[in-house]
Amino acid sequence: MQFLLTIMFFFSSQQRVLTSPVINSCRASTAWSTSKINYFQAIVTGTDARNTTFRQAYDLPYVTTSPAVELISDETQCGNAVTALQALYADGKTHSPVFLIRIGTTRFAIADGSLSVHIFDSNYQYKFSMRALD
Amino acid sequence: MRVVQKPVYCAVAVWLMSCVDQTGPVSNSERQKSMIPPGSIRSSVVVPDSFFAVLPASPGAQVTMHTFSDPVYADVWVTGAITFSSNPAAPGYLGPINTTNGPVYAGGTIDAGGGCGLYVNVYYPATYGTNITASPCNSSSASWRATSLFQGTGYATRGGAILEAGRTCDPMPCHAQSDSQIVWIRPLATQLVLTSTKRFIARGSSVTFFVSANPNLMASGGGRPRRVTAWRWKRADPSYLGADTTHLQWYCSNQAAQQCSVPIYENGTMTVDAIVNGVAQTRSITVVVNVLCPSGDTILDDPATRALLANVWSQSQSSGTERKGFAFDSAGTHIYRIKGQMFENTPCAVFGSPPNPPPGDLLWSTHSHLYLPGDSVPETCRPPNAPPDTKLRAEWGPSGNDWKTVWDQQKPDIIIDKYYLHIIYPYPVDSTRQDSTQDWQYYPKAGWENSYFIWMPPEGACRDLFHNP
Repeated sequence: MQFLLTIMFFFSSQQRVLTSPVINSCRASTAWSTSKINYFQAIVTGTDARNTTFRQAYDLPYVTTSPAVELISDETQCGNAVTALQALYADGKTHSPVFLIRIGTTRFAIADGSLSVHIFDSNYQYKFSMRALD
Repeated sequence: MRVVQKPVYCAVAVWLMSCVDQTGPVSNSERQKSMIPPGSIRSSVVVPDSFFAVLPASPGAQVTMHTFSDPVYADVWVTGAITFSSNPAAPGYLGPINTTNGPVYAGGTIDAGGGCGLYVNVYYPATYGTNITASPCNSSSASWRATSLFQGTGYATRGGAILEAGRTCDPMPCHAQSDSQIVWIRPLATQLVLTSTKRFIARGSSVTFFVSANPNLMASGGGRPRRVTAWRWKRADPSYLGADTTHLQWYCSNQAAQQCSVPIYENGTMTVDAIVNGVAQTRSITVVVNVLCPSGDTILDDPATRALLANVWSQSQSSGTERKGFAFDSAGTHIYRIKGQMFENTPCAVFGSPPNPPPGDLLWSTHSHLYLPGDSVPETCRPPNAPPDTKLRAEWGPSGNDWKTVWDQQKPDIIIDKYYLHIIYPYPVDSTRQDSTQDWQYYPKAGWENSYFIWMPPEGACRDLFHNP
């Protein structure tokens, strides 16, 4: 009997360990996030007429500092981004972890696993969402 | 751009491409004759003549093969059989030399004392640094065949007599050979190909013409059996007397070169004559100068391409959805089609695969993008998993699905949007998704920039070519 209880306790504790939540709001860099960073990088650093027009169309800043666009790995900032994304979706589902991409100092691009990109300002106020044309 | 099968199309234009001459010389020899092998042969492929020589069975016999003044990549093979017979009546006969006692095909597995006899050896003089021989000594097969590069006057030689070491077969031979075989040689079929960097140019622009072949035969040493014999330029208007004219002699006098770069000053046709795998062939490309609004891209500067793109854009505006078109090549004739409207099409996505069966080889596809960066897109574009009541703004340029389509079809795609023309060329894609509930997301692997060409026609008449024809 004692043996059986020991076995049950062992598996029950293992399950607790396996299912315990991992607090990680930031997604690590992937080729997909790199492709998005490159997209924004060209727009906010380009000096040609085309990118100037695109910056105005997206209301994005002209950035001269380096890196102009980068993936954020700071948990506090990603936590804020998750909060903003949860409010945007308001669907009761979990939208974490996220890709948090800083664009200059005034914009963030945020995407969860659905890979839809949403643009926020530096106070995490929602601006608009991106839609790729197929 | 996404693919769904539904064969509804309408033809919009047919553009006749450059004229292609196909010629093949007739070669004659007193004891060699030409023949066309049986079977279905594409009309665009020049089939060279075959040549043969009859080689007797007698040991050491030799016959002259066809002379190729230019190197040719050719098949050589032997048909028929000689007869090898034993003579038990010979005083020294100890039984058959080996199990072969009857027909002997292309060569010599007949083994006596470790030797190899009665084989067929085909020899041609040095080409690309090595003697060319074909000797089926270790293959006695009716289907023996070898492929190599040959040049000059060749010979087919019968191997020596079978060694009958240790036997007393003199004066009456213990074994004898009779009959003859036919030794064939036939250059592989290939066609001359002429390409150019541009076909529609601003006057005075330099155009480079390249010679190649399809299939592009190449020997192991790197030698290609083709030789340019002439570059020729013919003005479309013989009376043209501009201040500058096209002069090939300053640019294309090196006939050994497989390419020619020359400034073109008037409409005309560049023609190249070449010996390709032993066969004289000719190809031509027309060049048009002072194309309205040149982009510098050969596809985009073709008036027929522009007509199709303008039509795709016009139909997109009429339907309020993206639309799609295709260009095909059918034996030099270009065929253009616009995909019929698909019910799945939206203002942000287009569906449909090429016609099946296709009317030719796919050259490229095209589809429209209705929005520029930052443009608001309608609710019908909202992805199923997007949050409600959000402002959707269009991304610019090819999507991951567009890149995937191009990679799958291995042909470029032209995207026409309100101001820009984008050409994306096949480039490997990666994909990702969060889990099985999500769609795959595609994107080109790093380094895709060189596979992407963007052109914005200048505002006004040039833009109207595509958007307000």
